Amino acid sequence: MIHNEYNPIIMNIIQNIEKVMVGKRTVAELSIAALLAEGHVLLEDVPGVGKTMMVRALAKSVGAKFKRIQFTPDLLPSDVTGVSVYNPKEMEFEFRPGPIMGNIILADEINRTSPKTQAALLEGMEEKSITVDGITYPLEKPFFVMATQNPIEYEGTYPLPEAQLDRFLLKMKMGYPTPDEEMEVLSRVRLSNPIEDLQPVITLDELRDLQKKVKRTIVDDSLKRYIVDLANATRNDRDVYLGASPRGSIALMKAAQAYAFMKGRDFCLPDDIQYLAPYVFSHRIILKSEAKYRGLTEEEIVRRALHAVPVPVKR
Amino acid sequence: MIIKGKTLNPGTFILYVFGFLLLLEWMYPVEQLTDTGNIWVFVVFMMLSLVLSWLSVRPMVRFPIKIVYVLFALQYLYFESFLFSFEWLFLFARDVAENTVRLFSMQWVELSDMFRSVLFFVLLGLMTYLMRYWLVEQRKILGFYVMTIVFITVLDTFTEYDASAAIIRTLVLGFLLLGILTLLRVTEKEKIPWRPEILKYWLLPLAFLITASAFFAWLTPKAGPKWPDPVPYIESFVDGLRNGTIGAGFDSDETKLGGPFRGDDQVRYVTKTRLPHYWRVETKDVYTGKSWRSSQEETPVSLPDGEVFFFPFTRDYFTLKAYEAYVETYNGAPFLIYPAGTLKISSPEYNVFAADMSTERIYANADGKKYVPQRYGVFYAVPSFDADPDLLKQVPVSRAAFSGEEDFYQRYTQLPGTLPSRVKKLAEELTAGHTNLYDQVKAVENYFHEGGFVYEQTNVPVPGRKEDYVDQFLFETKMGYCDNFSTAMVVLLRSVGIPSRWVKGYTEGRYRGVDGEGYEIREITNNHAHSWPEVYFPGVGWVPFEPTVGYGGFGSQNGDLPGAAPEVPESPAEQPEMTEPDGNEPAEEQEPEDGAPENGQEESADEAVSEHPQGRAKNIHLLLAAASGFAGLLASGFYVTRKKWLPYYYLHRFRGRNENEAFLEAYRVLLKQLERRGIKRRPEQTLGDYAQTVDKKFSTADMSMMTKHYEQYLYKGVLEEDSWRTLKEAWERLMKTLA
Repeated sequence: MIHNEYNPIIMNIIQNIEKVMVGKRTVAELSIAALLAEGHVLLEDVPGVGKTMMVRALAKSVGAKFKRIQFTPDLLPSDVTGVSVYNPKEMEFEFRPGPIMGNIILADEINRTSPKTQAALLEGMEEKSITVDGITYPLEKPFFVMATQNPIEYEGTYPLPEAQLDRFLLKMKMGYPTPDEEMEVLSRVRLSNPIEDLQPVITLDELRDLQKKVKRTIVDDSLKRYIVDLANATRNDRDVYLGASPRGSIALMKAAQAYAFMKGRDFCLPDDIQYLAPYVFSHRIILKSEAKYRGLTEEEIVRRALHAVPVPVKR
Repeated sequence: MIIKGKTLNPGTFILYVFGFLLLLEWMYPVEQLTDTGNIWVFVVFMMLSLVLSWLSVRPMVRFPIKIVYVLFALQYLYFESFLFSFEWLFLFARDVAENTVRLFSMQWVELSDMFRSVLFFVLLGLMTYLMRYWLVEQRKILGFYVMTIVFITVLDTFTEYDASAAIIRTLVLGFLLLGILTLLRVTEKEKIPWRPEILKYWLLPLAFLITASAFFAWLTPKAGPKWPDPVPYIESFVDGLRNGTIGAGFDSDETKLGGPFRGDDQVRYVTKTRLPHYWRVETKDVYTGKSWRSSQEETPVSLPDGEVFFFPFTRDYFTLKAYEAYVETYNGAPFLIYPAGTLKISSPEYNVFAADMSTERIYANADGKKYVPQRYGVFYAVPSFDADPDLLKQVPVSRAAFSGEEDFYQRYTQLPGTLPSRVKKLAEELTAGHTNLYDQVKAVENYFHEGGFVYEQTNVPVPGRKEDYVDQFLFETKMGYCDNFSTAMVVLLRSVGIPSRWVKGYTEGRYRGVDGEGYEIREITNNHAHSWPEVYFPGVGWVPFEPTVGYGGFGSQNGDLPGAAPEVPESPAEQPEMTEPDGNEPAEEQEPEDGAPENGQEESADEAVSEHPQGRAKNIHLLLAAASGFAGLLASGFYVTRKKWLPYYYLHRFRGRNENEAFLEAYRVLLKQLERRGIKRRPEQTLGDYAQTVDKKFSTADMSMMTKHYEQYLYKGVLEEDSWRTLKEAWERLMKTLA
């Protein structure tokens, strides 16, 4: 089947989100891709550009349980995971689940909290379960974290270490809306907050089903090789201190699968990979300090890699 | 500082060299055609000007240098005796002043040589200035190049200047210059930094193409003109307008022999004869070294009842055989054509005929004016030499036979005093050892067939002021047409005291069929105009001979048979002068083409080649070389233009293919073709992205559509069931767009 159109279900979700979000199609798309690939997203942007709105709209659209954790320096791991509380009536400890026990979690300003608390969240993201008082609680499925990070304030923050950044499938920026879009935003919120009226377009079961289908999306060996070559190219770049890890390669493949699925295909194209590579790789690359001083960005390294590696066009 | 701060560009120097060489092409003919001597003085001036221009010398310095040179040159040319003194400057100034006045009062003929030289210097100075403007500022030379070509070709056509080498030089030079200038223009316009590879990509193919084309142009055989040289036609047409008749082909006024043959395919006469024979118009008896004239004033004598009394043969010597012939005239000049031995002329239109006894020209006479009848018949008798073939051989060489006819003898052995002695020496060598008159004449005639003479219509020079027409033909050019051969034979015979005269007329013409009564119908055009010698055999009469190579003439082994010229095969180009030699001449059969092949034989290549095996072998090598060269050129041409025709080849190839897998191949072909058209996929570019670029360029969606199918095959390993069927049309569309 030759498709160019979006998968209709995905189109529905996107359109649903766009009922409340003005513009930001890319962010919505990438978020859905990460959701389908069972990954997590790191949003890096200033407050007030609609990060929360995006996540909530997405959560509502798929009928997911939405939780929000506002990270502060004094937040404790148990504030994230939940605590066991003694129930005098039942005469035993009872687990009170924390905000992580949801489907879609907005982890706001994740770099403001202590590494210990960060670790609690990141463990949940990686293991899909949490351990409180020695008891492991599996997290609900789907489990999708959208963490935000404010790039402006570094005072009193705890920047995420590389190992933990690696756990995010994609990192992206929201960006300001265009003047027209912003006008549209103003007129929409004048009367009501539209997010309250948003209805789900699929159920969680259906979402889980989609996730399974995404896993079955075909990635040709030549494209796997292409991904590996790209990752290698970032590793071998003279301005790079640490290139994309094999986990990065895996992430790129998964994201590509999801993206291909969204585009209505059951196989990946090099175009998918090229499109996603900057979002997948850039936060996994550490530049050499001199390159950083020269003003080089991680995105530029990814672009270089894309430029250097030829697209496979032979079977 | 004399030279401006600009760095000298060696590339520009090459341009100047080419410009100089082009200008030089204008100088060669000036030297050859005008009486301008010391042309090198001007050439040096040209060089000097160009070099100064190349060095970008400031005008303040440039002009004094040039003026000093001009003054020195003028002193050298005209005031040599005033060396190292300046008095001549005064004379010079006076001359300039006087001539300036003449110049403006339009007395241009009276301008002094020196002043003309001054003007020439000025002209050259202007030309070099223009050269600089064209080459350096404008980077365009096409206009001047075309002018040069036109100049050279016009000179080649209308004057005796031979531009066959000049045209090749100019061609090569001009195209090189054009190519280099285009390169410079493009690189400058597009701001392409100069790289040595540019030379490789541009100049190598340019040089190759030019040399190859020039070489093949030189190598390949040139077909004769499809229509006759227009120049004589134009001239004769203008003459005709002036004289009231159009007299192309037959110019009765041989005030000047030489130059190209003037003929055309205009039908002048249609004849009905029993036998093919030449037609006389007139005869001339005085050779001046440059022309034929008549020794006597026009002396009209009426021919009562059309009875012709100047029968050329002694009637009782031979058995005569009588014939009748009929002539229709078109665009008739006021004279009749008649066979040798004409006895009576009759026409329904006129009954009064007259003849000019000085030239034996016959015309119808009415109201004191000359006419030619539309139709007329001639009754004539020819000697039957067959009865006794050796009759002519019995005529001895004897001066005594003319003892009573001193005037007659003098008249027909007249020669100009300026005739070089080597002509007579040649005639003596030729006739030595032959005892009878016939053998002597035949020896001279045969000399033309065996002496390496070439038939040539166009490339025939006019003798120079101090040259003799016959001498030039016999010893220098050895190329010419009937006038050359016939005149030369008459002159040779006369130089050894054999009375002979020069006859003008027409050949038998082009065979057109047979009428009901068994008469052969022939068309005579201006191209059939001809001339031949008649030799006086005492006791026999005037016997015609045919020295012109390529003409059957009157030849037969038995003797010369007037009125019985053998049928001459027509060449396809219908150029009567370019016919094959008569097979009856044994001498000619043995001779395998001395040196240059005859014009006529080269033209009718098939026949000529089959008759001369040696010529064929030689030709085959040349042909093979030309063919392989041509094939190579063709192949490279095909290769260079492959992006144009390859699509059609593939369109044809894939039209018949219906299996689905053909799509994959077709798609790859399409990619290749796109690449050839310069729309290349970058290695890091995905097919989808590339397809969009292509579609945007050609405003289609075909490429993206096909690419989706191909991508699915590439990255999923599955080709849709009916990809090729659904996409064939799109593919064909795109391929056609790309062709």
